[in-house]
Amino acid sequence: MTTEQLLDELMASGLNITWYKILRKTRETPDTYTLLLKPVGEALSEYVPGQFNMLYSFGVGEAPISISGGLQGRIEHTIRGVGPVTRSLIEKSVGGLVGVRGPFGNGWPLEETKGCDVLIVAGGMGLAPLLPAIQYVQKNRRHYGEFHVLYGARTPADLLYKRQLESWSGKPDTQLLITVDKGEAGWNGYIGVVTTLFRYVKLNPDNTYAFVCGPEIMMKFTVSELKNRGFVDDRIFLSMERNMKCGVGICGHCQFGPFFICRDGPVMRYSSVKFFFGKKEV
Amino acid sequence: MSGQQIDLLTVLKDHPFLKGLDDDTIREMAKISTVMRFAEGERIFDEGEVHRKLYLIIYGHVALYFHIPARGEFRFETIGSGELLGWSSLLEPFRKTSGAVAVKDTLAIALDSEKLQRMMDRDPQLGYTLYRKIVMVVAERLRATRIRLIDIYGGGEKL
Repeated sequence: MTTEQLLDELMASGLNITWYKILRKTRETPDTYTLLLKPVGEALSEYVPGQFNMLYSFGVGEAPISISGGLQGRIEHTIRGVGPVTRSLIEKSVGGLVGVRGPFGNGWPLEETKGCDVLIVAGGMGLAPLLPAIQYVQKNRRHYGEFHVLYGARTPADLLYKRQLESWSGKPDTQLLITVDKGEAGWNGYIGVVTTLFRYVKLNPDNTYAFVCGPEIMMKFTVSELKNRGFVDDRIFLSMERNMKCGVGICGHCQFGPFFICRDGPVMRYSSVKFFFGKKEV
Repeated sequence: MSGQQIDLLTVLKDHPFLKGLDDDTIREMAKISTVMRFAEGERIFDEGEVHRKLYLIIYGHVALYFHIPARGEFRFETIGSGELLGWSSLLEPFRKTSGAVAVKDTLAIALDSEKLQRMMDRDPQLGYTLYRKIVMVVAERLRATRIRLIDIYGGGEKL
């Protein structure tokens, strides 16, 4: 069956999915690709930075993936191939079909934080949902104060968006610090976990909002570091990760205490989740 | 600051590691201190070497490394401006637990650790204060190492 025949059948199937074609595929790391998707018909509604989509690989399944960019109906997703669905998505070629539902959840508080300093802390794939927020702050730079981006990854080869990182490092109004767990030959940057970068940043906790995204354990240590530096819980925002399925807070797969991450998150104020954050069995 | 005359007293007084020490002590420390510049790629000390200097980094960037047979140099940590390098020069057997190489042009103040140790022996209050600061540095690095053991960038659902 050709892609066009499959598309005709899928469009007629009544599935509540919007179909997109892969317009561009960019290799970020050996197992991570960024797909730029273009709608086959009408595009989904515009996203806000921090939201996610459910991406569907026909015949394999669906996975929640953060939106990492896109303009005028096009959307970008950075996907690490770690399971059957994500592997199937990154194995698709340019022109291949991807089903999309979304955008779901809420985003980073980019309006609330205007007039204040912004600190971004990203670990590993956590940079993907923060990328549109970083781009938004840079485009609207005069509305924000100091802007710091701290990013940690396992190795230099695991760093995402190398071209963007290079362009940010040259910006005088953005402090970008990158660290890796394991330095390799030729790596002249920082080595150590992302929290060690706090030593090199001058922060004013009374006027700074922190946006944090990464695996929960990384966010736990980052929150601890922020608290040590005087941040109050209301000024810390986390992007939570759970196994989202329905995307609208019905199925319960992503329940987190009294919240459903797909509906009430993924971006959540630390003060509202701190009683459940990092707890066993939550 | 590169290429300029360094005001040793001011630089020592402003360094976070020496914060809180009185002016007389800082003046005594200045007498056993040397300003040192390391070019990118320059070795500062080698693993296993007896090296009696304690460095206060003013600016720049230093990587700590082990040499792993058949694998080469493994860089495991970096130390930057405002930090302490070479705490093992104050603890017996004064042998470096790792090598250090400047990964960017670096300016540091090197304190003669034998003379510093004698200062601390003469003034136990100073000794207590400095060893307390060193324990905090070592504890922070131990904590960072423990966090790295977890592999904090992995995990998540395998969908």
